[in-house]
Amino acid sequence: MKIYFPDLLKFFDDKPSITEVSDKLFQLGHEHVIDKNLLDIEITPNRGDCLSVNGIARDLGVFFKLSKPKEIYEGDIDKLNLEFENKEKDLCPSISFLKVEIHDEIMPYQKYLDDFFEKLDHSKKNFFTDVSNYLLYELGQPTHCYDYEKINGSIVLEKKECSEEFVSVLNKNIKLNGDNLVFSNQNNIINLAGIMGGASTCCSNNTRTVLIECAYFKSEEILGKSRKYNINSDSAFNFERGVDPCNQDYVLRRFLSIIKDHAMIKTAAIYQEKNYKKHDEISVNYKIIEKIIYGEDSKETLIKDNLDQILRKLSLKRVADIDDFTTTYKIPSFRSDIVHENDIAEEVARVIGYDNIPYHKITTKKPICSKDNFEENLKNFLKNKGFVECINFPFVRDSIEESIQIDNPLDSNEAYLRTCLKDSLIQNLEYNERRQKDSIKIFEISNLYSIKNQELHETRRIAIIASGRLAKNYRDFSKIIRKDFLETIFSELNPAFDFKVDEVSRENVKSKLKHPIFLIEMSLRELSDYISFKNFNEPIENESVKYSPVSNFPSISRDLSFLIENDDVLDDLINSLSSFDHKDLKEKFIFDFFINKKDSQIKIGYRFIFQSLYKTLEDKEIDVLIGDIVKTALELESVSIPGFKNE
Amino acid sequence: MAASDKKINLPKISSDVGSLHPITKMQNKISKMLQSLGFAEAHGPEIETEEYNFDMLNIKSTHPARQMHDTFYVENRSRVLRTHTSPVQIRSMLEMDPPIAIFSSGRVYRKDDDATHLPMFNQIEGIMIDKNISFRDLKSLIYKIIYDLFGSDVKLRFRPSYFPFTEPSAEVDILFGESNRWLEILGCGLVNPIVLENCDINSEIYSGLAFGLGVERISMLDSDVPDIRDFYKSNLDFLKQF
Repeated sequence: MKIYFPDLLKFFDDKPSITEVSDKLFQLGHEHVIDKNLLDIEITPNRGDCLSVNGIARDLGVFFKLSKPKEIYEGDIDKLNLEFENKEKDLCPSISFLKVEIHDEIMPYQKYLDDFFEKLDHSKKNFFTDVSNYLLYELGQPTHCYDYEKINGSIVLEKKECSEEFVSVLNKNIKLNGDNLVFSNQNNIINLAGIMGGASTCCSNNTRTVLIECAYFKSEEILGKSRKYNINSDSAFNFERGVDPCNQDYVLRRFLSIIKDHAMIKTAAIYQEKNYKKHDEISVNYKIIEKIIYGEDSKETLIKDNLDQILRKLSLKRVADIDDFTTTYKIPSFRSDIVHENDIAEEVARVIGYDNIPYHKITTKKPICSKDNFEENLKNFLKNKGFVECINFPFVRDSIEESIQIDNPLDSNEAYLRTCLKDSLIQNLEYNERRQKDSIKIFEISNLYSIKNQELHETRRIAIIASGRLAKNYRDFSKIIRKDFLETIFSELNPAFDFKVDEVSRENVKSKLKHPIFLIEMSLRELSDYISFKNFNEPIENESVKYSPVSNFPSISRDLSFLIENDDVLDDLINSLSSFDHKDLKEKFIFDFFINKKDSQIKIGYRFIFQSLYKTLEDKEIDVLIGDIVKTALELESVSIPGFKNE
Repeated sequence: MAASDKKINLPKISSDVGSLHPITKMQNKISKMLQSLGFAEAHGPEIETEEYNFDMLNIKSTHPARQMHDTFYVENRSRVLRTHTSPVQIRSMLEMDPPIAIFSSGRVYRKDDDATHLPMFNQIEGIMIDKNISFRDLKSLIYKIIYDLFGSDVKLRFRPSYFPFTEPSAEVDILFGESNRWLEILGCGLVNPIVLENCDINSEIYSGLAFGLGVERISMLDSDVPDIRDFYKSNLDFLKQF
């Protein structure tokens, strides 16, 4: 929630700086960012009581001196004779209505009200709705304003099956469905309780008699409704996280006080239903709190009086001492999150400051040796064979009888969990072949799930795919991966076993390449029956790898074939070419090497692959770089490039 | 001397270099570190019951995470894709007697997909149950883990937070690199006594600590990967860097 800092300051007698307040907010667990005079605070879901300026100030009250509460209307208010039927006292145990009639003239907004709209960038609607919105910000309690003249007869609160269309105060048509907690008037829904009122009874600039509803709804009743109907509702947000069930009298008197700041009140009358237990109590043993925070053997101790002081500053009221260690406290009605002593320990730890609680050098238990490292060894083995591990999402379009269906998929075209790894790896192959990769060796190990006779089955499977050039070196560059490459991949671990290798049809593979694709897919358990990794230990690589951005632009390959008449310069040539570097030179390797003994010549073929991070490279740019490479190479005696022309 | 008369040192034949997925590498690194501290690895299914994924962890039916929008439900809402690895801790606590020190590492699922969130990501969570475990012990363990992962020069801070299954709860930030920004790195807390009781562990005798971290996030920080989606594109130019 956003708070205009001067609004927060009004709650304190001392005037802390925004930095001091910021530090304490962090200490209390209210993460936030500061933009000039605005605090944008993220409130954890258990702290609905902090969703207002008053709530945040109250929490900060353990550090700063709180000023007197805001001015409220202190006079007597007549009893309102309202035709209201609450059919859902469990879901709405307390509710109040305040009817206020004012004279015609509404004065310009006071600065505090004007600032709310200007500094926090809210748009004004009409006087009563504006006050309601301001009070939600100041006190966290949602209120709803009906134009009293638009209400005819009794109002009913009930949970009922709905199928009609509801027009909200924002003139949005909402098609209701299922059970909804609603306020009705003459059988017409006038308000989605706790979420948003309707257009038919809302206030306008002409409204002079208002009926203000102030209620407590159970959070479970409100939860998910605004999402369901795609309504952005601050009221629902607060109700979902819990509002103070015992604050209605104060809120409505504050409402009346703000009306009084802006208009002459003719009449005011209130209707109240209170069926809510005001305070729970908790017994606090300070020795237990000390143990939770510091442990039994710590030098740090909590002093009982200090604990009492902290709890009272957090609005817990001391009821009675039970024994030397234990005191009973009343929990304030706005702190529904405090239930047991661990909650009290958290409150105390927040006030002490988590960072001020000491820590010690940890005494570790006996290290555990991993017993089952088959999978880790397998991955390392494949890595050493040149394979790259991929991990894919499990969501797929196609299903088989045993597939598990997702009830609420992110994408309706991916509503099933995969039952094999092959398709994912084929997609990985396509993706990389489209990026000009002509040697693909990849694998994945993942859990797969299926259902049969209503029983879930989990299997951990491995799939390996290989296609394209055998390797990027002069021995293997011209060789294409064949079936026996995968058939013999584990031969050093079990020479006797023939692995079943499938050739995958390229019919449905979206790629221009035509190399055959070979696949092994099996369960890890099955694989472990055939191979094992005795004494295989891959060194652990603990050093961090710093990522280099990956280009999305096409690469360009250039091949140069060097002829060496004097083999003494072979190493010099290789060193010279290996050391050539440029930001757009992505890769280089020897793809051909031939010794012509008859003519005493060596031919060496180099491939250079260029790719820019920022653009598609043009031939003329590559020509310049190739020119530099060639120039350096040709400076070596007896090196030539037959047929090479670089304009 | 000519090529025909002497032995020529052939250029080295370079082998293709494979690679482990960066998430696997980070999982291995953290797992080994936790094993060295005495934590044993525990495993559990990725398809879970609501009871283990939510109820036993004190995530009530009124918790926003239980809404359809955050959780993937399967087979007519009879199961969920686990939203965290915490159900493994529940299973372990139900199966073992204290003292317990286990961690679980694996894939979890949330109905989210944008520049900073993925529908599938990886978590590592640990839990330790024993007599007299305090918040001070929790801090001590977290300092050890963070120092092992990021070096003992790193600055860290603890912030109060909220998780239904821990109380008190904390999030830990580290002051990161040249940006001089605090970045959230893990969540932790003392195991909520309600959770212990749900697992038939007497909370008056035993207490526990728990922590959890997102592997992708740690890996992004460790390797300066700017976009979480890069981990799952299976782009060989990306994967071969690790």
